[in-house]
Amino acid sequence: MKSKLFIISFLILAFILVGGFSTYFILNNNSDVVQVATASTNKSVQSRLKDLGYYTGNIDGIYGPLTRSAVINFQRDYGLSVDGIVGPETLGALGVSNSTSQSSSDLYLLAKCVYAEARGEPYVGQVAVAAVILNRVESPEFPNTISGVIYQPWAFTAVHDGQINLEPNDTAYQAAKDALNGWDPTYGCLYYYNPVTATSQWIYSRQVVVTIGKHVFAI
Amino acid sequence: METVEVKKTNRALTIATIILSIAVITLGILYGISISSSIKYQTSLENVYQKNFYELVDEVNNAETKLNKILVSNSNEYRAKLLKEVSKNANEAQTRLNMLPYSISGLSDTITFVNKLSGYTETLAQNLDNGKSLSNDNVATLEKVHNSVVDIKKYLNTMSKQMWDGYSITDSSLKMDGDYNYLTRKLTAMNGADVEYPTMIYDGPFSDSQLNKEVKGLNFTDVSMEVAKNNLGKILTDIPAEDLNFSGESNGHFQTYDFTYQNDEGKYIFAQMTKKGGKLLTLSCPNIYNNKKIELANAEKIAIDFVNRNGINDVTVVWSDIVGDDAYINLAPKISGVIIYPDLIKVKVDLDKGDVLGYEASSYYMNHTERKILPARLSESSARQMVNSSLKIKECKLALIPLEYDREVLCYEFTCNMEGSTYYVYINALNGVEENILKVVNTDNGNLLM
Repeated sequence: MKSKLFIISFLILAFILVGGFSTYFILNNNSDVVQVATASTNKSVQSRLKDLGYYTGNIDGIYGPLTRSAVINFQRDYGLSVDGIVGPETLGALGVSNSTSQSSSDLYLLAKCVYAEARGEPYVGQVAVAAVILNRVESPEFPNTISGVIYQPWAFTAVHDGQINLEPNDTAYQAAKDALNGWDPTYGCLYYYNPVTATSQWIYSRQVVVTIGKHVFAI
Repeated sequence: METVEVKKTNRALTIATIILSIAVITLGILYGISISSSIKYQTSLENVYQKNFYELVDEVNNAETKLNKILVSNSNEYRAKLLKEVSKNANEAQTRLNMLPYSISGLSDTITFVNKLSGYTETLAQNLDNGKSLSNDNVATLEKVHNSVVDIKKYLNTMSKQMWDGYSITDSSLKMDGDYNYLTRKLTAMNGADVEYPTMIYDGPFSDSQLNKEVKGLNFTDVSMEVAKNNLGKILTDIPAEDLNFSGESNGHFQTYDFTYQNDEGKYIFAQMTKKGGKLLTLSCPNIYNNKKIELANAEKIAIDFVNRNGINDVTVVWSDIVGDDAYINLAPKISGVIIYPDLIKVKVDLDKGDVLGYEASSYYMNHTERKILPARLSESSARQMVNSSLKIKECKLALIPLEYDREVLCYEFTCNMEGSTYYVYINALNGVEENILKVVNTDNGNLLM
């Protein structure tokens, strides 16, 4: 009798604790932000260091101990302050220009948004989503930069609920690149929605241009 | 015997109560921690919103005063200076406004007005810089614009007083009222309900003439879907027309019949044929191969053949680059030695099988028309003198280039080098003005012209 009660209360306690902890962690599990924005810069740094004979590892964009020691050796040889940190000075000495990462970060952001918003869609549907973002940049009704459009509050569901932080796949990159190159299967559309899940009545008042996959694109 | 039983039960109950109490307390603590951190997040978010809001108020207040001064000024220089400042204020205001969490499209009138205000004042300032004066129409429009800005200003200042009394942007953005959240409903008074926005007619950023361009290159009669499908079959030599699926129509700037094709290997093509004339406008398909077998020169040939099959001849490759396993090739018509850049066609070729993966001819059909190109008035050698002397000129071509707002000018295109970077310098072949400079920027994703 006693052991039975004990087991029952133990089970209740365990259940509550596990439940409580997991709720707590689900509520607070937003710290998963991976620092990837600098990966492309890291790659250029690694490949420059490899060309110069300082680095022997893989060009993977990960700033690990191998990269760090290569950077330190490079800084020592070139009379820079030896801290193992790739700052503007070291980047300059390596000949890796900061301005290039600016345009790639646009591509990266665009690919992230495409992946988050349209990863289940056919390829051209992904290009179309990227094109809508770029059309918004041009339009007076929306912010005038890619990041401004993507991070406009309430503009994209997938940005709002955090799916934007998923790592985009190769298809999303290709689609983003095609759109940046001027491909626009929607011819100037500013909106898209999924008629099955759209909650806003307003969106149905827009002039529909084309349906691609599950998305309806509209001006 | 019975008392022993009761004692046992009592002890067990006590233990259970203790354990349950511990559980409740632990949960309570965890809950408290999570609430307090979520309050912290909310506060920092609210602070960001409020900062944006107050900056917005500042920009609008400044723009209002400056617009007012423009109306009372009598000096073109001073007006130009103020117009540039208003343009900057409007641009900043737009950025701040777009960072507030109102529902999408809920404020499109206001945003459009602010963006156009920035473009309009910038264009007027440029006109003044070029020696023109403000017309009576311009001044009348500026007066109306000023009135609208006064209305916005009043509205925003009322709202900022409410924020002193504890109005929370975050809270009101999370409560929905129909399609829009509370914040949007609060701001809609600005969105054309109480404020009337004047029309600004100009040729500049965000002007209507830029948004509603007419299609110049499709002076053909409409064709049926079947004709378009057959044409597409002829262009895609390896796919018979009957395997193409008609997937619907597009009714945007261009009207098209859309087709898809899918095979067992996973190849997927989406193509759009114009209703007028049944021409291929765009084609896209993802690269499913990961190999590089074909040289760039061959890929360029494939691209030219493809363009020719679509009925566009006399094209020349003006730019090509390999990115990953694809070649990106830009082509433009060449008419009596002049490259026609406005009619640019973009082709993407897979470097494994040599398939055309992408085709984009909307610029071509948007701009292509019979042009009368005036002969160059400036000789090549005198144009050379106009190029910055520290650049090393490698090549010179004549080209018609598109400038902002539908202007096309005949230029000498000088391909130049300096300190390992490549530049394209465009010197107007009629008056020697340096119209544009493009720089080739190497990125992780291929070369870009910026």
